[in-house]
Amino acid sequence: MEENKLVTFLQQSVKILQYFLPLDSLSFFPILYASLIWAFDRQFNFQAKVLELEVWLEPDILKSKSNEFILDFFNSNERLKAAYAKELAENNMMSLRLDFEVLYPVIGLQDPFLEKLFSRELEQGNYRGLVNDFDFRLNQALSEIMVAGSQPQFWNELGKIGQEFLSLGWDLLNKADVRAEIKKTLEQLKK
Amino acid sequence: MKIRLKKTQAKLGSFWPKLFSFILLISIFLIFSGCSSSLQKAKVDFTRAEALNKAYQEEEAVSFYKKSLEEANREIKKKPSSQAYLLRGLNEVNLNRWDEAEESFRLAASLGDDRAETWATEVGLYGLALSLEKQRMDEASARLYSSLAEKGKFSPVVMAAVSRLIDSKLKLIAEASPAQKDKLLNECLKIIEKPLSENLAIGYYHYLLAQVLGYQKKYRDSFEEAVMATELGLPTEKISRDNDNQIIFCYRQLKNELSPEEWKSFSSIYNSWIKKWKWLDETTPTWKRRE
Repeated sequence: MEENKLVTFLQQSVKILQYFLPLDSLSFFPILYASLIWAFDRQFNFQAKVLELEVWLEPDILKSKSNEFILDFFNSNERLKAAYAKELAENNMMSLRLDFEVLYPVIGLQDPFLEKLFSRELEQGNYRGLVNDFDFRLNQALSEIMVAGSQPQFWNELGKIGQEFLSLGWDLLNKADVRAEIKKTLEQLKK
Repeated sequence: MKIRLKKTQAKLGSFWPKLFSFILLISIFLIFSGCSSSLQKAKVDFTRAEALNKAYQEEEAVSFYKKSLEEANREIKKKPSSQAYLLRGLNEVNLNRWDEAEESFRLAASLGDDRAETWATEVGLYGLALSLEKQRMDEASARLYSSLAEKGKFSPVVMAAVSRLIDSKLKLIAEASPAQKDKLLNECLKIIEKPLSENLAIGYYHYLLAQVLGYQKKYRDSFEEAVMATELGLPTEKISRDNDNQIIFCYRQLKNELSPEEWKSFSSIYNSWIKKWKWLDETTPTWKRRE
C-alpha cells in the first residue's frame, strides 16, 4: 500500500464530504476516520453505527466493573496513571469510577469515532478535559451528522468511500497498523 | 472441406440462438419459481443474518433481518401460515421489536404452531418488564425478569432477561457493603447457573459468568469462562472487546498472585490461546493499538 495512494484517496474523500459537512465541523474527521475503520471491519451500515453511538454504552455491564478492573485500567496505561496519580494514591474510587465510565469506551474499547472526536485530548493526555467535554461534544457532533445525514446521498457517498478504501488493498495489514496509518495521514491533511 | 465448414458454421449459427433461448427460458423459470416462495427467501435471509451476527457484522445482520422480515410480510399477504408468522416474529425479536413479535407469535399459534403460544407469552412478559423498568418500577420488573430467566423456554427472551437482571445487580455493587456485595454476587451466579447449564454453547452466558467471577476475584475461573465465551462467539463487537479486556485483566492479576510454577503453567496455556487468536502480544488483541 503506497502512502501517496492513501493521501490522494483521502484528499478526494475530504472533497466529497465537504459537500455535506464543513471541514472545520467537529464531526468531519471523526466520521471519515470511523467510516474507514468500520469499512476495514466490513461493517458498512454507517448510519446504524452512528445511531448506535448515542446508546453505545448499552448493556450496562460494559461500564459496571469491579474496583480492581477500574484500578487496572488506570494503572496499566502509563499516561492515565500519571494523570490520575492523586486519585490512585488516595484510592478515590468514586472519582475514578465516574471518569472510567467515559474513558473506557474511548481508550479501553477504542471506538474509532470517539477516538477521533477526542484525538487532541488523547494526544495531549488531557483526560479530564475529555471527560468534561464528552457529553457536549458528542451530542454536538452527532447532531451535525444527523443534519448531513438527512440528505440521503450523504450515507451513500460515505459507503462508496468505505468500499473504495477497501479496494486500495489493505488485506495484508492488521487493524492496529491500518488505524495508525489513517490517523497519521488524516493529521497531515488537517494541517 | 469448405462446404463442410460452412455447414458446421451454419449449424453453430442456429445453435447459439437456440442455446440462448433455452438459457433464457430456464432463467425465467428459476426467477419465477423463486418469486413464488417469499417464505423461502425469508428463510435464506434469516439464516444469512444469523451467520453475520455470529461474525460480529451486526449492522449487516440487521439489514438481512429487515429483508427477511419484508419477505415474511410478503408471504403473509399472499398466503398466511404459522411458519411465516413464526419467522416474522423471530426477525422482530432480533430487531428488538418485542410488541410486534408477541403479536406475530400469537398469530402463528392461532394457525397451529405449538411453540408459538409460549413464545408469545414470554415475549409479552419481557416487553412488560422493560416498560416497568422504564417507569422505575424496579421490583416489579425484576420479578418478571427473574421468572423469565428461571422458567423461560424461548432462548432470546431468557438471554435478554438474564442480562437485565445481572446488569441491575452489578450496578448496585459499587455502593454496597462487603456483605451486601457477596450476597449480590451470589445472586448473580444463581441467575446464570440455570440458563448456562441448559445452554452451554451460548458464549454470552460464559461472558456474564466471567464478569461475575472477576468481581469475586476468582481470576483463573474468570479467565477460563472468558476463553469459552471467545471460542463460542459473542453477540456484539463491543462485548467481544470487553471480553478480551477481561482476559487481559485476569492475566495481569494472575501474574501477581500465582507462584512461579503456577505462573509458568498458566503462562504456557495463555500463550497457546493468544497464538490461536493471533494476538500481537499478551496484552494486545488484533483490534487494539499497541501502548
